[in-house]
Amino acid sequence: MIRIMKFIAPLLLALIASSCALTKSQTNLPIEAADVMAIAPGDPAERVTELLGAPTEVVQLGRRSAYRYDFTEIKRAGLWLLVIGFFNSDTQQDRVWVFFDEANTVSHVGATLEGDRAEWGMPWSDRDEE
Amino acid sequence: MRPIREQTSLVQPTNVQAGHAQPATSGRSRRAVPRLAAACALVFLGASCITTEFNRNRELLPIQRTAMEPLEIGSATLAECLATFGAPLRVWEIDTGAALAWYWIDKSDWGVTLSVPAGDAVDASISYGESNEDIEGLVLFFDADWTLTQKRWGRIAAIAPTLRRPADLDDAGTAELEVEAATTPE
Repeated sequence: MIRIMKFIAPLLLALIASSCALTKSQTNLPIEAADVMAIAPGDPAERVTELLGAPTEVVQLGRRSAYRYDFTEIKRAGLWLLVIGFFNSDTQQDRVWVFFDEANTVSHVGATLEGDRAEWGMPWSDRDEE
Repeated sequence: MRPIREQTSLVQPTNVQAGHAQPATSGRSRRAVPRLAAACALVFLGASCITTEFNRNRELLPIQRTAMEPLEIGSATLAECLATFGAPLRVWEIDTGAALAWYWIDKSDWGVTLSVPAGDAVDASISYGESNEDIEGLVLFFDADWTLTQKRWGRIAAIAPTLRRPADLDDAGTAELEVEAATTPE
């Protein structure tokens, strides 16, 4: 009996002393789909900055350019069992690229709005939609 | 018939100490306590110094390789590609055209650290760097008319060296005006 207790006691102690944590961090503000939909080819750059504000990145493409807008959400989960830790991080983004022609008017818009799809989970767990 | 000595050996042994007879298990219990305490101390000490971690880092949702098959080189446009894959992660200037990259990360690994475990152990940086050489994804190349000229699937690090970083916005007055307009919304 004592031998069994010797084996079980540390396991119980490890379980009792375990801890977990959930964190969420965001960069920039979420991008509204309605604002993206309101941008149309031919709009001037001023219209884009009116709707979306200052871009996070400007890329020059010869005499043309492209603006990048993004919102990032990261959800992290951690589980500590005294000497072993399990950590999972899920990062998702709202991301919009607006391409301008030589006259600095909108030629193309590409949008991916998935910033709200970050999930807390353990390293071995699949995402909900997987 | 068994000898008497063997029969007496079956009797529970006793410890005789200061004239008192005590069961041997009591002595073992006393020895077990410091051992257990030492084991616990070792566990706690180890937990604060050496930690084994299993990390998984997922960034963005994967794109399907089959989705690029309908995009035909020489006829597919930027608008079609954006509609298929959404906004790219990176945009590069290349010759008179551009290259756009889509990728995602799903990495997991075991690690041993010599410090107190912290939430920062997981590097969630979305930026592409030298440490992410195994990132796989898609790069599409376009000409000046935004027509697809090339599509490549593979390790971004293997494709990226062929791409030129975007030009700095310091040699063209128009570019400076674009930045100003972008940073001062009305």
